[in-house]
Formats: sequence, structure tokens, C-alpha cells
Amino acid sequence: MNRDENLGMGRSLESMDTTENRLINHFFHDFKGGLATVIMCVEAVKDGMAGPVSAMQSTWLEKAVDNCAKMAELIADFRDLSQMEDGSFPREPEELDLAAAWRSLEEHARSLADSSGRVVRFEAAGPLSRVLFSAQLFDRLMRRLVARVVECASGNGAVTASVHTLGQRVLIDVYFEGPEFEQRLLDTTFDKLAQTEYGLQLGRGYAMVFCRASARYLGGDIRAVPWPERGNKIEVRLPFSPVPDD
Amino acid sequence: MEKKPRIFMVDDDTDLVQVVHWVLEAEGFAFASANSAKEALEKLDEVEPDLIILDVMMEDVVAGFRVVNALRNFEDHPDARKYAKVPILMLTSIQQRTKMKFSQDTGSNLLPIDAFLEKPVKPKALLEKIRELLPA
Repeated sequence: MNRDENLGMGRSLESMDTTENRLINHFFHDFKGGLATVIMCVEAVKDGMAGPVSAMQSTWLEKAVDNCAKMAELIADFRDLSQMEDGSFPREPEELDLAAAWRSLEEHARSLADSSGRVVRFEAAGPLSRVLFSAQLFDRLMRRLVARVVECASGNGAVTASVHTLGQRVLIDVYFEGPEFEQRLLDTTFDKLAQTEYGLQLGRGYAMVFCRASARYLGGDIRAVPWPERGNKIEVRLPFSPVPDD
Repeated sequence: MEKKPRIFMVDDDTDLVQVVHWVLEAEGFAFASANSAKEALEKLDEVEPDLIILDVMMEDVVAGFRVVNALRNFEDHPDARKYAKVPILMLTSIQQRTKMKFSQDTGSNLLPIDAFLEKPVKPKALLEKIRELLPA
């Protein structure tokens, strides 16, 4: 990379630091910096760098690290949501191998399911080709969604995720067995302020808000619907562009 | 006596620098730091680093890139030429947003650094990466 390209990347970074979100960007940077220090300190103690640590101490320290990680996620969500709201969140399309992305997502889901004991199935109904897509945001959206369903859906029912394309849309359905909720309660799944204890709970924080904001930012949508007599389903619908012929 | 590898950390977060100092010193590394790109470039000859840990956002949002530019392109800093081969480990919280990709090949169109870790980083991961990057 020559000097001009290096500076070009810097200009790209500077362009994200617009007047509208400069405060948020800098607050995020400083907040995350503080958390990084806490996590490093706690992990160093847990690793025995400050002397021997008992099993009980290690457990407590693990809890501290976990909560720091949640705070880091929370502040990242806050920043990203504000930037999606003002349109400055990056979404440049790049070529995405949808089949490879689906396999990677399946590996992620299985690693989470292994620790929870939940059965996870991934299916692809039809070929998945290379598409032009905001790959990073798609990856983040789907990883967050799958993680929340696998880790937090009530009961320990099986989770089945299926994908297919129709025209220039990706259609993803995530089915999860368990208590079936009414549509009016499912509608609050992605609206944190409207949630009640009687609705679908997929963990704390703003992950579901992030998922909906991401899906809409990509020009698509996400919703939760009943899966009659079986549980519930989350539908993700996202548009993509075909890869141009060379 | 065998010379300890000298790690030069460039980051404006003085608390994080302190913690990394403790971690590296406990593992037998020599350590020096700078809190800005400007200070880092001024201290290079004094420190003579074997590896540089570099933040991106310091006195401004692209301060870290200026250090990379000086060490790899040395157009504005000819004296930095002697450090062209020193590994650079970028430690930052913005990789996901910038889709920053890197390559050790300065002729490529990617950021010419040697590795990237996203904050928060665990001590073991940092140490592993440092050992991987240091020449044998």
C-alpha cells in the first residue's frame, strides 16, 4: 500500500467520523478502551500472572470478564444503531460466497449448541451462489440472531435454520421448538421498550434491536411469527445484487 | 546476558499501556511506550524496538496510520528506514467497522502491517501473537 492508499484508508475512516456521530464514536472509543483495560487486568489475574488463583476466584473473575464483554457489546450496539439511524454505517457491497457464509454460520451455531446441549440443524433449500452483499453486516446480523436463539430460546427445543434464494432475495427461516407465542407478543421481540415478561425473550441487551435495524438497513426485514403447535419462527428477508459477469 | 526483546507500545490509553507493560514485563520482555504518533516517531532511535504494538485512534482518528506510513513508506521520515522490518501489531477497536485488511507485502494494496488484534484482547492472545511475530 503506498502513501496515497494508506491516506485514502485514513480518509475513509475520517469520513465515518462525521459531525453527527463524532461524539458517539469518540465516546465508544474511550468506553471500549476502559473495558479493554479491565478485561486485560482480570484475565491476567485469572491466568495467574499476579499469583496463584483458586477455582472459586477463577469463577468470579470469569463472571467479571463475561459482563465486561456484554458491556462492550452493548456500547458497540449503541454506536452502530445510531449510525444506522443517520445512514453513516458502512454497507458497501462486496462479493459474498453465500454457501461458505452459511457453513460458517452453522459452525458458529454448533459451537454454541455444544455447550447448551441444544440440537441445531442447518439446511439449504437449493444452490447458494456468490452474490453482492454487505457481507460484514450480514454476518454480524446472522451470528447475533443465531446466538440468541440457540442460547436463549426458552426450553431446550431444537433449532432449525434454513436458507434459500428467490429472485434477488435471501430468505432465512430460523425455527425453534418451544412455547408458541401470540403474534402481538412476538411483534415486541425486536422492540426492547415494548417487551414484556410474557413475550418472547431472547436474552438481555439490544441484540434483537440490532438485528432488526441491520436487516432494514440492508433493505430487508426480520420478523417473528408463530410456528403452529411447534414453537416460533424468525424470518429474515434480505435483498442482494447478482455478481456482474466479467 | 541475552537481550530481552523490546516491545514498543504506541497508544494514548495510559491505563491500557500500564497493564500491557505489566503483562509483558512478567513474561520477560523489555517495554517502552509512546502516547501519540508524534512521540512514537520521535522516540524510535531511543527505543530501537523489536516489535511495535500500535493503536489507530490517538491524537486524531488516523494517527496510527501515520506511524505505519512512516515505518513502511518513509517518504516523510527517511530516518525510519532502519525500522522498516520491525513487525507492527495493530491493536484497536475499529477493525470491524473499517474492514481493515493487511499484508506484510508493502507492494500490495492492503495496510502494510504484520498482524491485527481487536480490543479487548486477552493477555494470552497478545503474548501468543507477539511471540509469533518476533524473529526467532
